[in-house]
Amino acid sequence: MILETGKPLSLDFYLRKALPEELNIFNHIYLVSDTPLLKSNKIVEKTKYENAIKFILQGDLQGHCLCFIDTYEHKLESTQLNELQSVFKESANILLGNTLSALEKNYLVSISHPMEQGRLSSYKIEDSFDSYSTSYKLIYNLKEYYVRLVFQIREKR
Amino acid sequence: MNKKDARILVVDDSDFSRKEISKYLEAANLNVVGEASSAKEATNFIKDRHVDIAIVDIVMPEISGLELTEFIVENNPDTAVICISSLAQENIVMEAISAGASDFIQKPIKQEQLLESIYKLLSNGFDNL
Repeated sequence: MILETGKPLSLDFYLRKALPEELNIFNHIYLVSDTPLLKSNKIVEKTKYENAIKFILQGDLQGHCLCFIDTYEHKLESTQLNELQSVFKESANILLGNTLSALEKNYLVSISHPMEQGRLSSYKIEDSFDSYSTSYKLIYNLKEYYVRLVFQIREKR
Repeated sequence: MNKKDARILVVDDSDFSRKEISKYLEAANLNVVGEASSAKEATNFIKDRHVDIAIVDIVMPEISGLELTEFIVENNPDTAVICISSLAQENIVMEAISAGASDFIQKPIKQEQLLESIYKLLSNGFDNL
């Protein structure tokens, strides 16, 4: 697609368009867009209660997507935390899969299975990648969790 | 085949999805005979038990759902496979069908869509395999 200015549209334009506004997962988990996709210069830890999972991206886009869930405002027992982690992993997989499927006309990208990263207090952004972040609210069991996605990607040369 | 007699296996590395899919099926009085969290577990399960329909997630660690589908179709021709995945680009759907899947459903799965796919297979008596 070309703008009237003749300038080709950028990756972040397509990615922003592909991210779903809302997802209903098994009628009891809802992901609702919270902040739009923004270019980010660094990834900082929001709270000490953030857990991350990583998906490797391959195809026309290369790199990975880190997904974080913050449980700061919720006092969770270890069994509840395990259950939430399982819900979060699959919700992030569905969110990312749906996003990349919507990108199909411009970029054909596949994802790995989710890999647990635990807590990431610092994370280096590699210079050769573009970095974008966006956030969602994950609503589960009448509670709202803050979820953010950080894409570190580049177009295949 | 009566829908209650159909033996269904759910294969997904996500505990959460496996349980939710099984709940959807059991709520419709369908017979979930097993759940497997990997292709290896699934092949072990079907080695000595008959399964009419296997619901198989494509993106799984180690052995993918596409490889598992090929294995099932080759070794258990009486078993129909429904592939599921959060990714649903045309090439993935085509790969699933080429591997021998009878249907493909994108996640998040809707109960009515899953049941429609199963009932269609049962009413066809798996003629489409």
